[in-house]
Amino acid sequence: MKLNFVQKIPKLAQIAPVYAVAVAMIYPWSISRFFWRLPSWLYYSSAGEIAVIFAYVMVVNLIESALVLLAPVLLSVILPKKWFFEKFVTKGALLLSFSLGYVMYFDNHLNYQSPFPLDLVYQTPIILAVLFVLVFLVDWIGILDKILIDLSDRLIVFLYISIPVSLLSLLVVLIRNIF
Amino acid sequence: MSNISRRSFLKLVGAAAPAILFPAATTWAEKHLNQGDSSKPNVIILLFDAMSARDLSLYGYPRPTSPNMERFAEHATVYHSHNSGGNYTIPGTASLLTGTYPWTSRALNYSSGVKKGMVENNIFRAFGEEYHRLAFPQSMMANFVVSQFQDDINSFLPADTFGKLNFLLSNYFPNDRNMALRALDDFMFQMQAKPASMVLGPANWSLYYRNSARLSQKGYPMGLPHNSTYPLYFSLEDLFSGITSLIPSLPQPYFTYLHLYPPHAPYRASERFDSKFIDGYWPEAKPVHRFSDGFSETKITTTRRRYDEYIASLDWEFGKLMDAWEAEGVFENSYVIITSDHGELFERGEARHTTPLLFDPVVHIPLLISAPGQKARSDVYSPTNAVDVLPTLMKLTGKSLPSQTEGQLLPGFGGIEDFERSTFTVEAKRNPALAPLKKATIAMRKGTHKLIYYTGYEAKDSFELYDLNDDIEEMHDLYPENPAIAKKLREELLESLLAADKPYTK
Repeated sequence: MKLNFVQKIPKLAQIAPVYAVAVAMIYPWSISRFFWRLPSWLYYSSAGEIAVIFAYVMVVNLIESALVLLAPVLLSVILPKKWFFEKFVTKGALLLSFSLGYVMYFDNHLNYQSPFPLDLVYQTPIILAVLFVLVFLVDWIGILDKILIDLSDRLIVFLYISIPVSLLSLLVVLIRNIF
Repeated sequence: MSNISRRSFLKLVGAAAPAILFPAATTWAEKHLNQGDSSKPNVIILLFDAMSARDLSLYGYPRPTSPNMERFAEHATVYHSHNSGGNYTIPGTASLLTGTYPWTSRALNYSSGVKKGMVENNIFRAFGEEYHRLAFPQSMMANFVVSQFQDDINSFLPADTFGKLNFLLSNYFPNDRNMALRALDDFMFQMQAKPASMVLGPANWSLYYRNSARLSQKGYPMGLPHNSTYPLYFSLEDLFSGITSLIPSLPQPYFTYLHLYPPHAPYRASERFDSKFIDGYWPEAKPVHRFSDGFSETKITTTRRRYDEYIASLDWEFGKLMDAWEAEGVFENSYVIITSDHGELFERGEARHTTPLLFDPVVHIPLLISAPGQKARSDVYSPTNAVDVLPTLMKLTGKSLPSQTEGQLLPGFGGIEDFERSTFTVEAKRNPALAPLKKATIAMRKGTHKLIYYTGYEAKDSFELYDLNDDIEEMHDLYPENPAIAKKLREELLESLLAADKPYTK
């Protein structure tokens, strides 16, 4: 049992492209908003303060992307090998694309001047279940498999920037809060 | 964050032993072993955010908004022409806590705070380690300023103390509270706009919504009072009850700065006072100012009514606090100061305080000081300013003044009534802190006159001049009619501005 569990944890080479999809969706979301607020901050804040804000943003994104990555990794471990593990890259990438796409849709319905979108919250489990089922389209549409592998491989380049910047930001935040 | 001195700790240990066997001894020990140096008076600043003196019956307002403050005034010195340093929390609070005008401390905009070189010029450091220094900034903006002084504060109570719901993430970053507030609560997880965090932001929002929906709104027909831009909910009863029991338990001598959020918007009057002031009172309408938001008279009057009801709700709780402190003997050995950081403006098209305007209601704030054992009321009518509080307290407690102080001793506590002194209120939130002021409103009060200077809003700078003795409602602009007085005041104001901007002028 234990051996099976370990055997179903994807290798780093498989996790990286899936993580790259998460990074490519999560980081630009915050960074675009960061640059939207930047003119206002420039008015009031020093460069150092803006850099610290950026560091906190990177740390939150790092945590978010790591948490989101847990979903396909856990599915790979829990489900039978053939269901998820064997096509981890494509199914993981598709799962994250669909899920984060839905999260973006949900985010766009948040408005502090309007009532909280409770109906969307109630619909979310159903929608996520449907999306999960759609992930298995990869088994039926061969070309989708190829496209997803190519795309997620190309997205790995973002990791060369996001990971070092995020780790440096984590160091900054830790230092500021420990000392 | 809270440090107990060795002396206090040893006292508490000594008190604990008999308390285990003799509960009655505990009460005696709490009362007597914590006395510390009883020759030094305690000092309590109780500040109500956004409280305009013009809306208090204490100062002649026709609605009965502050009967308990009037009761307090019976054994206090009441200042009738006390002005704030700014028209919103950051400059207003900084002026009070540093004894300097905003153009000196450079606490001008939403993220500037007190400039680095002036942080040590704060009231907590001035009181020194001899005092137990406690700060409770319930307002997040006040939190921002006061956090700068946290090295000089023994007990720093976070904004959600005595609250019902708090979703501030910056509380988990006590060593970097201000930046965490700006990055997380103001941006990534903000509630006043879409969060910048794609996944955790909406999750946080969902949790907040679920928890706030479960809060009992009992006693508040319009909903629980809360911070206008941050997810902090509280009830007036819990807030005042907490403060009431907090003070007598402190090691003496203590200096406490209690910056309470009410009556800042949203105005959430308690059941007792909700709709109480639907009384037909309709203040004199004033012409809409060109720099105002242009709100209608109906909106202004309705909003003002709700504000007055909220003040009355707050005053009710203040009455209970006063009774409790009286019973505990707090007024016998403490200076108790009631004041505000700025007022509120309900006229000329405005219904708020974050405005370019500096008319009397938004700068005229209450100041009442009850000295230890004071039994009679005293009144002061000469102009005073928030910057005067710090030097006065230093004199009263035998402390040295910080190196940079622009205030004077308050009349009645070592100062004299000076009707010719010049005091300033500065509004410059759209300026970088460390650059000359290019877009600002500055009000200078001198004698009976008040000169208001607007720069950077239009192609040409402009001035307005009022005689507050004859025209307290500031309806008649004397600037074009009295060129001699206008010139004299203008020159003084511009010279003062130039001097303040000099370090930042290349």
